[in-house]
Amino acid sequence: MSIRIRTWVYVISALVLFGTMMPAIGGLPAFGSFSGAYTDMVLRVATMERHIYNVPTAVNFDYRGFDTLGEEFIFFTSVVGVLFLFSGVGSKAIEHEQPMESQRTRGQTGAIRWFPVGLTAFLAALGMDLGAHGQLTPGGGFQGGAVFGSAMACIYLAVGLHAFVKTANKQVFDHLEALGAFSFAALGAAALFVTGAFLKNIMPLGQTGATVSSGSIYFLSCAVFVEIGCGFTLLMLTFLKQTQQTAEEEA
Amino acid sequence: MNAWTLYFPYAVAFWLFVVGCFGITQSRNLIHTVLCLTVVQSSTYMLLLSIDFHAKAGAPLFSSTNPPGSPSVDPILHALTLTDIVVGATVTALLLALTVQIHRRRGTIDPQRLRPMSE
Repeated sequence: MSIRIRTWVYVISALVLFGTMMPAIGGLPAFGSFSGAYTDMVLRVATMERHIYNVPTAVNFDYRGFDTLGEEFIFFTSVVGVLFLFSGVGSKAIEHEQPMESQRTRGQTGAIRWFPVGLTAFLAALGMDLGAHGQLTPGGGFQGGAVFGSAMACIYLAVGLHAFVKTANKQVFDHLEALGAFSFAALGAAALFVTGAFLKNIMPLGQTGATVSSGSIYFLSCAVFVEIGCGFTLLMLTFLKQTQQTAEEEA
Repeated sequence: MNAWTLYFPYAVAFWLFVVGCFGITQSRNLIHTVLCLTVVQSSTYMLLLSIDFHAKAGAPLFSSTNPPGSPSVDPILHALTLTDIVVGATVTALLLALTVQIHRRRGTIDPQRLRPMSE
């Protein structure tokens, strides 16, 4: 399709969409005044039923737990897809030889070099804190895992690719990621086995506000934290290795 | 707030969707195409979060000082958005990995110069 035809197809579709969206938007509740039946219900019952303070976490891992299983496997397959597409990528210099000090790290002052090291520690701690306290404060497995993955990326910023590859051992992170994905499904299946309903809360609920509370939600959140944290690290590892290999091929 | 501002966030969501699609149709670079797709995707966040907002409500997060059942924004839409952001980032990574492979195999990432595989 030539660019001109494509533009025309786009303009016509956009105009049709505009014509249908205007009445649709007009039919929506005005900004700030939506009130759904489920909203009120879940806000009223979540803390009582699940001994949890953070309602979005309860929605994610309990009331909408089955959807989250689906989302989690979209994540899992995407990471597997990236690993598969870059399979066979391995820079010899990284795997076997001494660290190649890149041009970039050579000119760095101590402050620039050590700031990301401190940042790594801080972000790793923050990520684990978010992941472990999703039932009490804002956070949960998804957010904590993303922050933890960024912490791993900071190792690359601080000391370069060689150290990153050594720290984020691909074998270990591969297995941990799969373990995280598996644990979620396994907890769901265990509930099916015990109670006859998939992902039903089977753990003791604990006291509301305690570090370990909210029953299965806590464990599901931790499983997702492990999966997301390792998944993000693997993604960055794979892309950085690929970049390094391309640079070596060109050199 | 007048009537215009009451519907403005929805208009922003619509605009993000349309402008992202425009970028995709005009794209001469697959990396640009992927980024346009993330713009389209962010229109869904905009829509979800603007429905979610409540003028006189706090975060859906209770504690001993903010007892359960106090007025709060919609936790369901928050939950939808937060998982989607994390999963969306990964799908973007997958698309970029595909782009790298296309560049290796075909030597170009201009979608208008890519021809069917059989040729």
